[in-house]
Amino acid sequence: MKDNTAQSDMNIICVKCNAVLTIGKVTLAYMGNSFPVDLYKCPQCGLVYIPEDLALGKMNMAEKALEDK
Amino acid sequence: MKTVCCRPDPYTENRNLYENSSFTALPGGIRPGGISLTEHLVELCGFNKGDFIADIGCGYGLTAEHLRRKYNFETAGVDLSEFLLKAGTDRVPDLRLIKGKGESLPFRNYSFNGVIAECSLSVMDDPAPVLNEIFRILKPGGKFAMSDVCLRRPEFAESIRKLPLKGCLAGAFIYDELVSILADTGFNLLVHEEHSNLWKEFVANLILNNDYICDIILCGCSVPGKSSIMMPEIVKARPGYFSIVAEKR
Repeated sequence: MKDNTAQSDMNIICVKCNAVLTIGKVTLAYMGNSFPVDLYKCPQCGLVYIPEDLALGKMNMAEKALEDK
Repeated sequence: MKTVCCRPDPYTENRNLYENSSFTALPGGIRPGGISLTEHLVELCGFNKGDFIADIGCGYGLTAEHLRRKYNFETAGVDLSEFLLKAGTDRVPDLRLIKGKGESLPFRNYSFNGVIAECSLSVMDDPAPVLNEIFRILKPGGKFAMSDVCLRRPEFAESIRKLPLKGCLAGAFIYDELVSILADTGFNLLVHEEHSNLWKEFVANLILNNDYICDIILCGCSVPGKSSIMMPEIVKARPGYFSIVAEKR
């Protein structure tokens, strides 16, 4: 399975809560579809960190697949 | 922060495509719509308790097991992969799973009330002889239910065929051609449904969560990290998903 969290070995800190983000199941929603994905998120406020390469790569590709243009 | 992963590396496994751990780890099998679409098709067919139902390209027998348990059908599954069949009978020892090719099904004439093929005809070399075999093993009036990948813009089919793809997209159907083969074989088409939303959801899920399957099936690439973009030919051809129910004349 895809590890969307592989890029970072460093601690990522939530700017709002000052808590270390942990890997957890996040549900992405787009055009009426929902997708569970493992991503870093804040254990307190739920803020999700999406790495740039994921946003520009796989997420962009998934969007194209869903948009059906 | 590191995650610990003890799963095998799918890119270095020495197994056939659908035996790869990336496929076998999927809880509902590898097909759009999952077991919900299977149930929908079965209900459209109107089978009765005790009916004999064959699943062509059964993998490790998820559908055969489910239909037997939920509907009390007498089920049999056929697949080429000994590895998958063994995985199925290891899991459910009395499941009737048999090694065989779609082009020469290991069953007698007129022995089934129904035959199911879920996203499996597209991975076979030529659907016509397989449909002939399905016709042969069905009883008169028996139902054939299938779901599979199609190209909604068939004018791009040739460019898809030239891609180094493996799996269902490589053999995606042109719907009108399939209907013609079914009629030539002796089937009456009863139901046709469009399920392309299921395909899109399925594909997006693979892209986000399963690098190996995404690379192999959608991108024609077996080298990790080399397939960040789905081939433009595939996008142009607008793959979709459909189901049909046909009746043996």
